[in-house]
Amino acid sequence: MAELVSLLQNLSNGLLIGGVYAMIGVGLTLIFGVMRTINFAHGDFVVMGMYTAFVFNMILGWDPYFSLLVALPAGFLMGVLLERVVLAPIVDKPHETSLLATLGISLIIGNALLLIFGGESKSVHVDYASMALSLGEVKISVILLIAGGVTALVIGGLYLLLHYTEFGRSIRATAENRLGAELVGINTRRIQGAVFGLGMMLAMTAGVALIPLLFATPTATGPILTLKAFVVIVLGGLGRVGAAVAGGLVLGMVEVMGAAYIASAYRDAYGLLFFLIILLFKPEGLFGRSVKRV
Amino acid sequence: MKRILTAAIAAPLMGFALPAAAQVEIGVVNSLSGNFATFGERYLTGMEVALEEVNANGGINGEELELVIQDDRSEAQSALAAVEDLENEGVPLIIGSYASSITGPMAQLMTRQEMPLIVLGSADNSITKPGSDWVFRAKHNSTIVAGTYFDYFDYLREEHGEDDLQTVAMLYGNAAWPVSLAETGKELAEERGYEIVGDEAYDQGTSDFRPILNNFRAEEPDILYVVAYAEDGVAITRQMREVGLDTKVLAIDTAAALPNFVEQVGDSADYVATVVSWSKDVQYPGIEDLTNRLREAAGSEPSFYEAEGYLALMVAADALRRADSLDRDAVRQALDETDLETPVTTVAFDDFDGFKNQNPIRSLMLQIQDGEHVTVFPEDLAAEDPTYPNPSWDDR
Repeated sequence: MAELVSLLQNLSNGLLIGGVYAMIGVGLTLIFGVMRTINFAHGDFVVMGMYTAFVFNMILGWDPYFSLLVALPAGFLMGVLLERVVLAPIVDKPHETSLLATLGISLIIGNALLLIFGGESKSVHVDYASMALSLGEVKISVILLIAGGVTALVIGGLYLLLHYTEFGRSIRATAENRLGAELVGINTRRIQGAVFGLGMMLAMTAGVALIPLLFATPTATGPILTLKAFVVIVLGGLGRVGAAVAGGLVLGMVEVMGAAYIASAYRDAYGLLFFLIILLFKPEGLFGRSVKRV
Repeated sequence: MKRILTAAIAAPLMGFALPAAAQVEIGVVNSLSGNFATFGERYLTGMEVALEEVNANGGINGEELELVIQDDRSEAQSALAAVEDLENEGVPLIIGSYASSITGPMAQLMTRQEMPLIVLGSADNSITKPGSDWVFRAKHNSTIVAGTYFDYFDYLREEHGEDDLQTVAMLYGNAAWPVSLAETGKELAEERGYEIVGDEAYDQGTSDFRPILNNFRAEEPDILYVVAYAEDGVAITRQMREVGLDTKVLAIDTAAALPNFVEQVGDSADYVATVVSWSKDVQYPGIEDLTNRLREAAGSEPSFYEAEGYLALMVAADALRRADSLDRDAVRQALDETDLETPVTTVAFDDFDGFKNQNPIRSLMLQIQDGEHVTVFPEDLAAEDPTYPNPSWDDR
């Protein structure tokens, strides 16, 4: 009985932690799918979301989730602006160019945060930080539950946007074949700007949702999250939103189960080992299709 | 090419300029960005307070003391590069760094290069055991810290009866210092008759401790002995409450000594015990004045981290004043002969129990009571009695 309880406990934790990973991965995979840009600044966008929540909590005493009201539009606008200023001028250059550009954005964001806030790691303390819902013997962290809820909402919203709106259809068309999309009259430059904005918005949302759970340290947290996000999206299958969600859930589950039932010191290793095995046998990812270039 | 030329012209000019400025420069390698910046900033504050004091009192024999500070970005690799840089600048000694996994490699490199190192914040035994002629540590080490924890557990046993405290669970990061303190703790636990019912290392950077804490909950340990850096310690405390892991004693080393630990975990911080090398409520001469200066410079209540930064620089200044020259060997000689009293502790570098150039400093046990860090052990230095046992999370 005790073992069943702890299994259920670990299953629920793995699922919720995986949901958090999924939320970080979704924005990255969307940007890659549409723009073929490998965004090295994605983790730093997440960290910017964390600092947004931190600043509004410190100055105005807002609950971190309330600052989504600011983070959502700010993230979208900043993303659109970054795409216009930095990425659009190099859209037809070789892939390394945009890769280096996003790496540059990452360095600038990390060091600007270091300059403004100092190196001390920041978090927001909320009264419900240690609360748990009890389902019989199984306890579920309220914060993880909220983060999971936000993930579900965001991903659900994204699904509706991509599949049931004209704008979403244009995004999918651009992802599938940019030239073809342009031939049928889609302004793919505008789409790319909007997608980068969406990606940054998703990243900042993840940051806000994560701040009661994780700490934000300038220059250190960003690259770690970027790495996690890459593992998530490659594991699932590059460029597909559904695959990123699956990749996140699988990674969370593997890590939690490894830490609980093998040895906790190698938590990251379980995820990466699993990742390697998948790459060996299914290089396109668990749910990916091989990408054909046109 | 242009830059090399400029450097070639500038170098001899700078050589001429130095004696005229009449200053003594020493190297500092400290973690000012990255994971350990929380600690690095506090150490820097302490050093700055000491620097002001040294220069207000005539500097180094009339010459102004200056710090050449390099950020190691919380990585050993960058720290080693910083040591090379500082060596090229010709500093007579280096103070550094915070994490043992950074200072350990630094100590080895500087021993090879025969340059004195004053350990800033690292406590892993292996830095001074076996140690070297060139490495000096004024602060405590794993043996002293683990000894203080178990002396405290023994003291609680005596006060409350043997049957009360029997079992220990250990939880620690997989970096040099947490592993070192956990290993020393395990040896002491066996020596003194505690049963180890849980022993889990975690990957540094983990934020989810629920699987481990849930496993511990089934073992019902009397004591939970945690060694964790800042963020991990906060996450562990929050999640202990969440999963409902109750223990009679909760000891969290490193993280819980930070003043902002209390801000970040709120009232869950109460009853947590942590070992430090210095506390503001212990009566050493000059402590009140130092506490005030540290508080002003830090902009918050000072911790033992600021105090250790202050201590390291005072030790360096004292040796430089006594050294015959700024030659590295002369400075090493002077450090060797240190006999210093500061408001933090007395300093003399001794060889004992396999340690070399280690100051035999006393450590203190703090317990968080009503959101304040107070000294509760050893008895002769305690400001308050320890609260025991910890109430269960449901009763708070």
